[in-house]
Amino acid sequence: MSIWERFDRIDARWIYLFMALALILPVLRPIGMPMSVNPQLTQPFYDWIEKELPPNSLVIMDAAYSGGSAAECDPQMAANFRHLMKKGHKVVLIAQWELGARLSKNVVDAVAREVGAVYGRDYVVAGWRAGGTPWMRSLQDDFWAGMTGVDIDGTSLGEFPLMQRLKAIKPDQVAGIIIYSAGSPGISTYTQFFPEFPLYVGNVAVQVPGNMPLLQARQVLGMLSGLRGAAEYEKLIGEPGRATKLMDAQSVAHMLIIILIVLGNIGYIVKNRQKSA
Amino acid sequence: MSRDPKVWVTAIMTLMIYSYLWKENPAYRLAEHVFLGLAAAHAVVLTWDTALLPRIHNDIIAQGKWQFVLFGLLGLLMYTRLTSAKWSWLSRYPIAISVGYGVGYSLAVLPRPWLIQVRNSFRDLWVVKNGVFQAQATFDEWVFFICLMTVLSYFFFTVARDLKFVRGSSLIGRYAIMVALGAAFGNTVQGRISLFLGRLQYLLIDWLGFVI
Repeated sequence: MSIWERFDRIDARWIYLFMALALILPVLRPIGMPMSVNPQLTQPFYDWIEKELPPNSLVIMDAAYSGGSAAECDPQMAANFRHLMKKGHKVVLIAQWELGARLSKNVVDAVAREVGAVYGRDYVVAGWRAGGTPWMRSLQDDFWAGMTGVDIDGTSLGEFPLMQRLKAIKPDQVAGIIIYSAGSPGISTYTQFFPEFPLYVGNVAVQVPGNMPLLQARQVLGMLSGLRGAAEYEKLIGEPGRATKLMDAQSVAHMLIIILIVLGNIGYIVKNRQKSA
Repeated sequence: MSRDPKVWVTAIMTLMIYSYLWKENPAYRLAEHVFLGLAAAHAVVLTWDTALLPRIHNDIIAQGKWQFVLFGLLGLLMYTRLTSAKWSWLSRYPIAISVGYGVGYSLAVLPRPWLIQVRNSFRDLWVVKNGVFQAQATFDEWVFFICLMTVLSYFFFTVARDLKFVRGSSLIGRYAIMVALGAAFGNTVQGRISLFLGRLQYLLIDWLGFVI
């Protein structure tokens, strides 16, 4: 049996083992590989918050993801929220996915403790409500009514000074929208119903190619691509976090996959030649 | 190592799910069923706490918006599907209203985002910025234009493929699609690895207490 035939019959569990090692070792012993910032995706996102947002702006964040995609969206949200708070902007967080509401509150609460942001004054987590797109549409008319007058923990919105600034998601009250999206409902809610707002997206990597036409058509103005996008954003704000630390592992795993694909194709060609010989 | 029971439960559930990589086993199935049950319960409790109760307290009782009662009753008719044929026809009314609303709404707002992208596909094929010819941008626009036209020709079925021009055009279109699928696959790999890294950092940092 030739080496290529052995490769062809390799138990998939060996590949899982190699992959696990390729990921675990760089996490435990980081190599410090260089990382560039994507000028089309990440840089415009950063520039918007850093240079373009008027002082003391109110931004809507939407957590349209669940636990399965939190590994990608949580670090993105943490980096954006940290940047917004440091620049003195305000955030109201809603969620098109029910699990996203609680996950995102954990994320922003942790960052808020570090940067000294105050709940109710600097940010509010309004949460998720049943109703899908019609519910989202209702927030354009009356945010308080759409949220049934309470935040994610059932506290009246009237108790939060920040909420006096937000009666409806309208351009005179909201400077822009950031959505962290892992699927549907997600970005299309905003391209359809909120086209008048600057829209920025934290995306799971799987969705990025499908959403590039939105970026090209400027329906989306900036995009973070998965964990890599979060790491790039951490680099831009000068606060490397967990995403940055995991980039070595990501790169090593990609190299392993490239090697496996190349080996697989060489084996395929060699086998075909042996058959035809 | 963490002393928080919540962290232990999460870590053990993660390992139970990953045990599927070795082979299908009862631990994996148990974790899967627990997750499904918890997710369903979470959605029910969240809807009750943050949607139904505040709607009743704030809107109906406090503000007297009694129309919510009417629409609530209409919504409850959905559950007649679970009853006998004598009553199940009543469920068609809330379904008809929601479908009619959804279709009307979609027809009103859906075309706009697509038309913006169609408009965006009309590109300047000779890019000049501040009086200076931009070779790179012009090249990019030509690549976009050729890919767009050839991919469209690939999906153009009313002309026979035996015409040389159509065959060549659709062949280039097919390669353009392959490149796009390759990009999508690469991003999918990136995303899946990121998800695993998320779990890995939880196991290594939050559970086992490694300092990285």
